[in-house]
Amino acid sequence: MSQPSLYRGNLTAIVLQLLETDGRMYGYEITQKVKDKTNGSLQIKEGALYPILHKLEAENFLTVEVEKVGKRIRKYYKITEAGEKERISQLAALKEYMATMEQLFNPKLSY
Amino acid sequence: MSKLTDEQVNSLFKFTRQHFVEFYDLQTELVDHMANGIETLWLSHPDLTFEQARDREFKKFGVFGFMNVVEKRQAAMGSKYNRIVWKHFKEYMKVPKIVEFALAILATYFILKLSSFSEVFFLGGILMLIVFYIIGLYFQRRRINKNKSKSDDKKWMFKEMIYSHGALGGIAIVPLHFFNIFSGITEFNSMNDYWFIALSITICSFYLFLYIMIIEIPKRAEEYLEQTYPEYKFAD
Repeated sequence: MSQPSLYRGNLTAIVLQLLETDGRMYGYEITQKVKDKTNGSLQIKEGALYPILHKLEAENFLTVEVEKVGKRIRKYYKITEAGEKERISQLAALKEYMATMEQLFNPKLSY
Repeated sequence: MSKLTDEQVNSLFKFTRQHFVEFYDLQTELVDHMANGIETLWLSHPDLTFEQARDREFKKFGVFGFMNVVEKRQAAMGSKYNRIVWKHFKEYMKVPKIVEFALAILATYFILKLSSFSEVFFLGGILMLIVFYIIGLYFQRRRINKNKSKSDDKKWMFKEMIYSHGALGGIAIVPLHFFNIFSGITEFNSMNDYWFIALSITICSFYLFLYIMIIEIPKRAEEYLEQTYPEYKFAD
């Protein structure tokens, strides 16, 4: 399985976590931040990022702020209180998943 | 760092439209994304022309271009809309609005019982619904015209959703099929009260949903649009 497909299922958790730690961000900024933080090993595809952002926004997990930059309108995403709860629950699920994988692939032997 | 000129930004708006992004709310976000990408690309490849850099950035959206983003946004907005409809509906399940809803159910119950699904009632029902639909459309048109100053040439996905659901008024005649079905039942008189009550609740809930979609939500369209699109204020 390729790395991108491993990451894909966790994109929502990644986006929520990033917005929690780094505050409000716009789409392009998120792609760059993830690239920087992972030294380029994870690159979020634009075609995957925006559907996630829009879904989280529609579910009230994110709220938006806009700023005019010349002729451009920049849309910033911010995590909401409900989004924070969702982030905690997603991270818990992710940790549980990682622990299960650890048990499967690296079992501790006991005598 | 090279920055995009206003002309180039405008051409990006045109580019998104050419790639089937008809809604302004999505165009603004994609244009800003593409513009940021192009400007970053120019840092490492200053020799690239605007068109070359634009095409490279566009490729990052995959083989379907912006289509996936548009479709998923439509789905997300659709579920947001449904949640708003449901929120309005639930208000009718609480005091004081539940009184109106209960009275409507009671009235429907008595009408069903007294009319015995007669032909006169059937035709009267159709006529009443047509009138209701036309009145609804008239008010909706008036509201749209009133709001026309807000960026006529720009299409907003959620705005379209709010107003296009008004067209659902056509399905207002669906419950009449109930009459078709039940009027064909010969042992109509043997139908017990529970059936009448269930039918009344179904019919009233159906019309309540329609009322919410055709009248209530479009009435509060501006409020919902400003909540959904903070950029709406920039659009005039």
